[in-house]
Parts: sequence; C-alpha cells; structure tokens
Amino acid sequence: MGALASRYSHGAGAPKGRSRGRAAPSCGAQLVCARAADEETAIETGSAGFNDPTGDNLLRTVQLPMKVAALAVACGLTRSVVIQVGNGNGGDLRFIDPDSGQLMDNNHDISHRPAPTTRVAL
Amino acid sequence: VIPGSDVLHHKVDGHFARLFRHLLDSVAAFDLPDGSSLLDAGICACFNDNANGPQHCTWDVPWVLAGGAGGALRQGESVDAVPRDADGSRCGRSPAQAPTTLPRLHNTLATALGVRKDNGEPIDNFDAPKLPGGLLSSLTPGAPTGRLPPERPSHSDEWRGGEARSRPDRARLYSPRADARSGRPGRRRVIDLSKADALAYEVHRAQRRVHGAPYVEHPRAVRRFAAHLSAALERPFSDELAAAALLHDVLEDGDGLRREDLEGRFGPRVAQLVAQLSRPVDEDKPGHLRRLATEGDDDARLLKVADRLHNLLELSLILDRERQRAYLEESERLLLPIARGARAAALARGLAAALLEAIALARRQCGLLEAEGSMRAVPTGVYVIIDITPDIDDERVLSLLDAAAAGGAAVLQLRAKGITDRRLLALLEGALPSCRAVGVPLVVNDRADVALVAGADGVHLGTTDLPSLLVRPLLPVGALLGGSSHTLAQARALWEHGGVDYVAFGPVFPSPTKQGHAEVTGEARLAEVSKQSPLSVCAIGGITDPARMAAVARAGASLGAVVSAVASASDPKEATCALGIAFAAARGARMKGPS
Repeated sequence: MGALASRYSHGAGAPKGRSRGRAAPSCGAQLVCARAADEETAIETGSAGFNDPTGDNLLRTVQLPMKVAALAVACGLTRSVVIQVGNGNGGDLRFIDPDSGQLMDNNHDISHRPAPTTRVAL
Repeated sequence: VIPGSDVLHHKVDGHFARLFRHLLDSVAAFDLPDGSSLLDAGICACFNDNANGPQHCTWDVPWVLAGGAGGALRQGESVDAVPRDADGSRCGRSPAQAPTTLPRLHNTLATALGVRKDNGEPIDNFDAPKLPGGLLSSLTPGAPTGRLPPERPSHSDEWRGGEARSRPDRARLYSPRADARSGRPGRRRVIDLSKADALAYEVHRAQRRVHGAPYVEHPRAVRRFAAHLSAALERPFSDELAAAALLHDVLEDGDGLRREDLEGRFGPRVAQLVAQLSRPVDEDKPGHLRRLATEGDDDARLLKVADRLHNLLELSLILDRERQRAYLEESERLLLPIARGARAAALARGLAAALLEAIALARRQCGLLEAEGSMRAVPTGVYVIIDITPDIDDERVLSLLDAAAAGGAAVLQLRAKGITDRRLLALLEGALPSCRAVGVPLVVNDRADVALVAGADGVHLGTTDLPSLLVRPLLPVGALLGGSSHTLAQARALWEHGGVDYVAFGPVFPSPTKQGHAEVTGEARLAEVSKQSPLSVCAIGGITDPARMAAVARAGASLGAVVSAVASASDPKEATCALGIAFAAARGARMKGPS
C-alpha cells in the first residue's frame, strides 16, 4: 500500500527533536525505541506471525515499521522501502465503520456478493 | 455492485489515507542540510493493486504521490489514466486505448529518482515491450516544460552548491505540514495547489461539460494551458496563477462561495484574479468580456485566453453548428481585444497569436473551413513525426496520427524503421483519408518510392537518403519535399540546389530519440540558419515540450518537429495543441507590429 524512495544515496537526513539511542548509523543519529520495556517485549512477542484480521489493529501496528522505514532511508541504510498492507483483494481484513463503531464486511465482500454458500436463504 | 458499497469503501479508504499521512509525517520529520525535508527529496506513493470494485481493473489503479524527488517530480498534478468512456466507465476499453499510463508512471518515478538505463537515457521501457514507453510529461519538472532535470552526480555536490535552493520547482514542493511544524522564519507562503484542485473538484463535482465530460477537467486544463502560455512567452508561472486557473469558475458555480473565502484560503492575489474572471449576476457576458478587455490586468488576460483556448480545443465536440459559429465569432470579437489589450506588448502579441491559432484549429476541427483553404504550401507550426517500430501496433500508430491531426499539427510524418514495405503502405493508405479530411499533409520519411505508390503528400529525405534534387522530378506538383541538415553548409546546399520546400535543421537540443547521431546545434545556430534561409526552416531534435517549441519559434523556425513530446504524452491531442499554441504565441510575440 505504501512505498518510499529517495534520490539520495546515504546519510541524507537528521531527525528533528531529541533522540536517544541504541544504534548509530552512518548519519550519526542516536536512535532508540521510545517505548517502555514491557511494550517492546509485547511488540517483539507479537511480531512473529502477526495476523490480526481487524484492519484497524493492522493499520495501527504498521505505523511502527513505517517510522523505521523513514529512519532507514534518512540514514542511508536503504534507498527504497515497500510496505504492503493486507493481501491482494483485502479479503482477510475487516475494518471498523467509523460512524457506527461496528465491524464492516471484509474489504473484498463490501463490493462483491458473498459466495452462495454463505448467503442466507429466504 | 452492491448498493452503498462505494460509501463503505470510502470509509476504508479513509483509514488508509490516514495511515499514508502517518508515513508522510514520519518522512517529513527529517531535515536535509539544505533546509528541505526528506519528503521533499524523495517520493512516497500510496496505491492499491486493483481498482473499480468488482471489475478488478488493473489499468487505472489510483496512485497518490507525495514528495518532489528533489525537484525532479512536478507537484500538484492530476493525471488521468485514460479518457473515460461516454458513459463514464473506465474499463472495458478498446485495445487502442492501451493501458500505458501506469507503465509510464513507473518510468517517470524511476527517472525522477535518478535511475537510468545502461546507456544513460531515462528509464522509458518499464513493463511489457509491446507497450509504448515514455514518461508522463505532466509530472516532469521545469514547470511547465516537462524537461528532465540535469543528472546530479551525488548528494554531496548537491548540498555544497546552491542548486538545491534555486531549482524552479522549489516553491511548489509539497511540505505544508513540515513548514508549519518547523516554523522557520523567512519562508514565503506556499499555496497548496492540491487544496485548490480539491475545491474546484468539490464545486464542480455535479457538473458536466456540454459534451458530457466531468467539468473539473476544464479548470485543470486551463491551468496546463496557462502554464504553456507563460513558458512560451517567457513569463513566470506562479502558484497564484496556477491556483486562479484551477479556481476560475468557482465563484460563478460555487453555492455561496465568496471572494473573501478564497482570500482566506489562498491569499488576496488569487482571490483578485478569480474575481476578475467571474461574471457578476447583474452583468451580461459581452459586457463582462468588454470590461475585462479594458480593465483586466495582464495575468487575468492570460488566464482568460487559456480558458478560451481549452474551450476552442473542445468546440468540435459540441454538435450544434450554429453554436460553434457563434462561439468562434465571439472569440474573435470579444476575446481578441482582451488578448491585445495586455500592457506588455510581447504578451499582447503572443496571446493574440495563440488565440488566432486556436480559432483556426477549431474552425478546421468543426469543418467550418474548407480543407483546401487551410492547406498551405509549407505550413507553419508543429511537425509531428510518428516513429513506427516493429513493436508498435498499427492501431496505435493510426490513433496517434488522428490525435496529432486533431490537435492542430501542421505536418505529419511517418518514419518507419525495420518494418515491411507492405505494412508501411497499408498504414499510409489507412491514414491518408483522415489527414486529408482535416487538411494536414502526411509525408513519408526516406521512402520516396512508397510515398509515390501510396499517394502521400510529400517526402522527407535524410542526409544519407536519395539526393533531393533527383527525387524532386518524381513527385507530383505541390508535393512537399524536405531535407535534413546538421550544419549551415548542409542547409545552404539544400536551399541553393536541393530542390526542397523546407530545410530541417538540428538537433537543436539533445534528442531523447536520436542520441549522439549529430552534434547539438543549439538555438543560436538555428537562428542563423533561419535568418539566412530563403526557405522555411524546420527545427528538429530534442523539442520535448512547449517551452522548447517556443524557443525554436523565437529563433525564427517556421516548423518545430517533435517525436516523443506527442507519442509519449498521456493525451497526444492536447499535447499537440499545447505545442502549437506555444509556437504561435512565441512567434506572435516575436513579430513586430499588431497581430
């Protein structure tokens, strides 16, 4: 769903604001994960085989690799990043209707009639 | 389609749009040494893998792009994949409407990011080889030239020099949030053209043009034409002008929208320009146009002419002959005074020439001018060359010829390399009737024999083809004969004893289609040849956009030959028209005395 690319070969940017760090890439920035230790553990635990069918949870979660992607390009570790959110037709994801707060049909079924076996006979 | 599914998908799209914004904020949070942000230096893209709901269309998948690739990608543009069908649908089109926009988008993005082919040329061949390649000229920078930026060797050079701050698209870079956050003093206000486009879309969303197209396409086209005119007449094309072009009809059509609203959103200058272009409810149309002719400022005149140019380009789509006649008459009676009344003399001449060119083109398209009457011995304007290669299909060739003729090409040329004589003959026989119908001569490159057999309108000979003096007696009276030259001596030989009607001279600029085959001549040598030649001079080589077309007109050329500028354009008809308007405007501005 998202892609990021830069003309610059490496070390292009310096992050705004404060930073504290664990790693020091070529740009010299001090980097750190700002989450609390228990949050880091939760992320690391949940990252393997992450498969949450609730689209809203997925979108919240994918914000983290987006930040990492921006950092990686800024520091010259890579020049391009592709992030795919969901699969081809979005058939596995269900999003919350922001108006009703209820889960909608899965993204694929929104504009396709469900297969006959799943339809309610009248 | 399940009723209401569009509303539900819109809600999901909203989720993804917010996520994309998160990516943009993350990228814009990094500063570069030149003061711009990482978002300015790169490209962020948000896209689906298919489109149009149940149709699963892969031809016109929507993309949202943000970031300027360091000035290598133009901002604030909207590109339509292909024209809509009459019923508004966007799938199930004929093969002639090939899905070329997305491959070209990939080419454009790769090129903007500095990727080049092994031979150093821009990436222009992404995807299947049978698809026509090329770039999306509307996204390439140098507003509004569509030129590629010069290759920049390394970021370190970039940071050291002042180039990054002086790039033409600098002020257009999309980074409003970054600017707002950083709060740096001294940064001038940047008009967010995407907001102007969004307002135009909102106001006109329920409206259609007379011929059925979505109305919002009109202000977008006016913006493009205004940019072309500005470039041709060597005037700056500011964001204020671009925004006013997009918004020029919103005060008339927006329910309750006031000038003060525009002033608050886009600044006083945009509001002032739009107000000049808006007809008050208590004023009739002739009165409004006369008032604009006497009171309008130069920018408002340029926008009004751009508005009329687009309407004239589409006039033939209105079937009512009387309305066509009335509109053409109004254009001469009420619009020409607006053009000629500009305070800057060169602008007045250029706008008037562009308007007259568009009126003549509209007359031809509407069939209100006899084809014989519009055919000239050696026309002036845009000379469109269509390259036929083994991997381009005949339908594409014919559609390009049709589009170029409809867009006002002065001469068309078929240039065939590596195809059979039979195929070339069949193409000529297929194309000649429609070219004749609109009075545009079709000439053949190199092949005098095939041109004779097909009854083409002329032949163009290169420096290694048959000598033109020997070919001249073979051609019927009135046939066009042209010859190529790369030096003043070669050009002189052609006009003194070549028997030709016109002399092609170039390459004037580095050519994307013929690299390294001859030394680039530059505009100064073209001007010298044009000055000395008693014959018409056709400038050729590297004329990739309206700005360069205007440059060769200023150098005195009677014709400007283009290849990729039309064949690679997302809309070849409009591209041809824009080149012709730029040529006429620059030529008109160059002339002394009234237009």
